[in-house]
Amino acid sequence: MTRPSVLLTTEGTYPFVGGGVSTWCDLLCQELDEIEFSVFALTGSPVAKLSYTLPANVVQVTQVPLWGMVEPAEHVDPRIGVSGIVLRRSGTDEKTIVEQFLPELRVLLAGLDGRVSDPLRIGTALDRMSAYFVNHDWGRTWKAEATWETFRASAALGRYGGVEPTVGDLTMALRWLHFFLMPLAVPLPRTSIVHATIAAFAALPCIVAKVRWGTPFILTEHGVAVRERYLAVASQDMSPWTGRFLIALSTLIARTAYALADVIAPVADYNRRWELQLGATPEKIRTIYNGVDPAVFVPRPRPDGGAGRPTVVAAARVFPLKDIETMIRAAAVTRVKVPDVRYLVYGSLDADARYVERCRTLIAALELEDTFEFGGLHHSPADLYCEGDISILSSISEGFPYTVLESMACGRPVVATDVGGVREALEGFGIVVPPRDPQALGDAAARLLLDHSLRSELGRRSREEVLARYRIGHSMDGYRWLYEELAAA
Amino acid sequence: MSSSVAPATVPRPGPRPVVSEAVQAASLSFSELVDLIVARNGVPVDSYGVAAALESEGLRDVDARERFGSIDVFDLAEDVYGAALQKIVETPIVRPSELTAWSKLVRFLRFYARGVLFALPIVLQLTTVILVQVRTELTDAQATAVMLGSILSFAATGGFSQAIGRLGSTYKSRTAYHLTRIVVLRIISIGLLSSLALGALVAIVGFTLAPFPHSVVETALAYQLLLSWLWLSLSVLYMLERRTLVVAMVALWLGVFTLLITVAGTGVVVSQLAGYAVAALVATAIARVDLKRFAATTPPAARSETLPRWPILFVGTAPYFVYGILYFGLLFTDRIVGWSAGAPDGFLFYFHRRYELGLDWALVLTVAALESTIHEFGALLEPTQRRFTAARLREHNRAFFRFYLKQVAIFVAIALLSGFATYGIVARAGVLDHIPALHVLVEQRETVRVFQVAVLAYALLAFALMNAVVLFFLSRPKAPLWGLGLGLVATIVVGTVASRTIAPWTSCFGLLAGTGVFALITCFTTVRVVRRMDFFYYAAY
Repeated sequence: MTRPSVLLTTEGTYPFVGGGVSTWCDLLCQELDEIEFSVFALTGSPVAKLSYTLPANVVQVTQVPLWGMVEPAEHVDPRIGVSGIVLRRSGTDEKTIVEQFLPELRVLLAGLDGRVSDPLRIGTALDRMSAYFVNHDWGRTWKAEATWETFRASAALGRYGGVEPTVGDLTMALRWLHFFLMPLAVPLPRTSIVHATIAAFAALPCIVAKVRWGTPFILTEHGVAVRERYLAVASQDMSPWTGRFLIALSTLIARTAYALADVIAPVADYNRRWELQLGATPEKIRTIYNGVDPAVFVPRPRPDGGAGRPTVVAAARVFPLKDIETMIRAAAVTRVKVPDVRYLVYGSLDADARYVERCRTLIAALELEDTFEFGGLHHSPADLYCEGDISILSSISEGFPYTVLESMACGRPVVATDVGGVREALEGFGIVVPPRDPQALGDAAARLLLDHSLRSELGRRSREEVLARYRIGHSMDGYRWLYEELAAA
Repeated sequence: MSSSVAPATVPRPGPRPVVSEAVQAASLSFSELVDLIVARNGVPVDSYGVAAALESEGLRDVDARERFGSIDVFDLAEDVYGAALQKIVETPIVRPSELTAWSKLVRFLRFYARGVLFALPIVLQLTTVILVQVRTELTDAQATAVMLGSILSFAATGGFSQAIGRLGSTYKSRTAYHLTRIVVLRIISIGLLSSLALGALVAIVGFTLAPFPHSVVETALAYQLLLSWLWLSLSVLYMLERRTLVVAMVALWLGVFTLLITVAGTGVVVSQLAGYAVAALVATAIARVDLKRFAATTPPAARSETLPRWPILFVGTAPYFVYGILYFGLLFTDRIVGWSAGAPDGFLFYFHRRYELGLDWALVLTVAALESTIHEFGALLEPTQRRFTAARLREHNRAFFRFYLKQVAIFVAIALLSGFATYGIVARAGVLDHIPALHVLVEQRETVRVFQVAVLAYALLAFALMNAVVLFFLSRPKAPLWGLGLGLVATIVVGTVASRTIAPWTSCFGLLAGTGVFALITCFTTVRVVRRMDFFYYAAY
C-alpha cells in the first residue's frame, strides 16, 4: 500500500516563519510520520530561510513568493532557464490571451462583484487559469492591453459597495491580482489529499486540485482569514474602492474554499460563526482543537523558587494584534494592588518596530519601567511559563492559541481576553476578560497573584484539562482519522 | 457579566480608569458605538467589516445580546453599519495645490543644472580634443587616435553604465543596499574585463590588419582602457547621486592634465592619460568606500534579500545594456563614416576638425532638460491617477498628452536655442579669437553646413531621447531599441552613400537620417503610450 500523501499549503507561516500556525504545521508533519507531506508555502518575498528542521516525511517544499520577483519563473520553477522564459513569452500572444485566459478572468471578476456566485464555476475558472500558466508567460498575460481592458470593463460594472474607482484604484487592483494569484503559476504535485491552513490565497492550489482531480480537500482555519482581512484593510491607508476590492477578493476565495472543501476543520468553535456566515454548511465543519505535549510542558517551580517578585509572563510577538498596549495598561492596574508585580513579555520585537516604540513610550508615560519588561525571544518555550506565577494574553484576535495551552500544561493559570477560541479552552480553568479592557485584565491578574489558593487550584485543573483534552495525540489523531477517512472515500 | 472564572466571576471594570485612551465598547451606547467604529475604522466596507471591528473592540455575542438587544455581533453589526452609512460625508477629491510660475522655473533650473552635469564628462572629453589640438602640438593623426580611443571606450562601457544605473537603482529603491553594492561591483568587473577583451581584439586587428599606423593603435588603446575605467567609476557615482563628486573628478582630471602640460612640460597624450588615470583611481576608491558604507545602512528587513539568478538579471537588463551601446553607436557612426571618406593611406578613418566642432555642447544643453522631464513626469503620475475616476479615463489620458506636448515644446525651444547659441558662439569667433584655428575653420562653408545639419540632427536626437526616457520609465524599451537600431542603419547607409557620392562632409546627413528615424519611431510610440496612459502605467511594473 502506498503512503498517503498530503499537499499542505501555508501562507506567511511554516516552514519559513515561526508562530502558532507554524507550530501546528510542524507538529502535524512530525507526528503524522506515516504520511508524505509536500509543503506549498506562500511567502512575502523571495528571500526566506527555513525556520524549522523538516522531518524526513516532508518530501517537497515549494516556496511561492507573492512579491519582489523580477520574473515569476525565477522562483516558481528555477529549472526554467533563459530559453524557457523566452519560449513562454513568445508563445503568449494577444490571440492566446484573448481566447484562453480572458474568459476565465471574466468569470473571476464576475465572482468578485457578485454576478457569479457558483463556487464550482469560480473554482473551474481558477483551475483553467492554472492550466493556462503551465505553458504561458505570467507577466505578459497580466500586462496585456486586453487584460487591462477586460478588467476595466468589469470594474466599471462592478459594485464593490457602489464606490466609483479612480484610475489609480484600477491600476492597483489589477496589479494585486497579478501578485496575489501567483500560486496559480505554479505546477501542482498530485497528492491523495490537499490541506489548506488558511482560507486565503494559500487555498488556491487546493481549490485547483479539488476541481481538477477531485482530490479530497481539508481546510483548517486557525484565525478567520476574512475577518483579519477586514481588520487589516481598516487599519491601512487605502482608498475606499481598493479596500472593497481586496475584501471582495479575499471573501470570494474564502467562500469558494468553504464551498469546495470536503471538511472544514477549524481549531476552535469560535471560527464556525464566521464560516457559517460566509456560506459554509454546518455538517462539514469539524472542530479539531490544538494540542500540546504535556511531557515537554510540565509544571516546574520558578527558577528563584518563588522567592522573587510576583510575576506575570506572556509569550507574544509584539505587534498590534496582540494588543500589548492594553497589557501595559493592565500592568498599571495590577500594580495598584500588587506593588512589586513584574510583567515579563517574551517574544520577537522585530514584527513592528513602530508599535514596539509606542509600547515603550506608554511604559515610560505610565512609569512602568520597573514593572513591565520585554524579554525578547526565549530560548526555551517549555521553561518560559515557569518563570512566572501566572500567564497573560491580551490579543484582540486569536484562533486557538498554543500559548494558552502551554501555560495550562505548565500549571500556570491564564488571564486572557475573550477572543477566538480562548474561552473554549479557559472557561472554568482561567480568567477570561473582554478584550481592550485593561482594568478587567489588570484586576484579574492581581486577583490571581494575591489569591494563592485560587491560583494553585486553577493551575492544577488547567494541567488536568490539558491532559484530558488537549494532548498533542488527541489533536493529531483527529487529523490522522480525517486523512484516513477522506483517502478511503 | 461576560468574563468568566472558576469558581467565581471577575467583577466588571471599576469606575477609575487607569488610562483614558482605552475604551470599552461594550459599555457604550449604540450611538457612541457607531461613532467609535467610524472614528477607529473610517466608513466600514460592509456589515462584516463592522462585525470584525466590533469584535476587535472587545464586543462579543453576549454583549450584543445583553447590551444592545441584538441576536449576536453580526446582527448588531448590520445595525451599526446602517447607522454608520448615515454619517458618510462626501469628501471631494482634493487637487494638489499648483506651484507658482517662479517655483516651477526654479525647479526646472535645478533639474536642468543636474542634467548638464550628467553629460558633462563625455562632452568635455570630445570637445577638449579640439581645444587641446588647436592649442598644442597634437597632430591630426594623434587626434584620430584620441577619438578612436574615446569612441571605443564609449562602445565598451555604454551598456555597462546603463546596467549600473538600472540594476543599482532598482535595489537602491528597494533599500537592499547590500545588493546594490554586489551588483554594481560585479558589473564593473565584467565591464573592465570586457573593455580589456575589446582592447585585445583591437590590438590584434590593429597590429595584424593595420587599419591605422601602430602608433595610433597604441595611443587609442591607452585612451580606451583608461577612459573605460573612468566612465565605469563615474557611473557608480552617478547612480549613488554623488554629483558633486562627479564634478570634482572632472576637475581633478583637467587639473592633473593642465598641471603636467604647463608645469612639468609633459606631452599632451601622456598628460591626458595621467589625468584620466588619477581621476579613475580616485573615483574608484571613493565609489568602493561609498558602496561599502551604503551597504552597511541596509535596513534589517532588507538584509536577507538576495539576488536572483544571473540569467534572470540578464534577461531583465539586456534591453538597457543594448540601448547603452546603440546610443553611442548612433552618436559616433556619422563621424566615422565622414572621417573614413578620403582618409589618407594607412588610416581607416582620419580626424577632420571640420567635422568636429564641439557641437555636442548643443546636445548637452538640450538633453539636460531630460532630468526635469522625468521628474515632472514621475510627479504627475500618481496625483493624476487619483484625480480622475475610471469614468473620466479620456480626461486622464488627455492630461498626460497635454503634458507630453508641453515637454515637446520645451525641448524644441531649448534645442533651437542651444543649437543657435552654440553656433553663434563659434561663429562669433571674436569671443574665441585666441583660438585662431577655430576661427579660420568656421569660415569654411563645409563646416558651416555640417554645423547647420548637425543642429537639426541633434535637436531630433534630443527629442528622441526625451521619448526614450518616457518609454523606459514605463518599461517599454522595445521602441527606443528599434529606433536606435534602425537609426544606426539609416546613419550608415545615408552617410556612406552621401559621403562617397557627394562630399565627405555630407556624411552628416546620415546623422540627420538616423536621428530622424530614431525620433520618428519613438515619437510615434510615445504618442500612442501617453494617449493610453491608463493601460501603460498599469503595465509599467
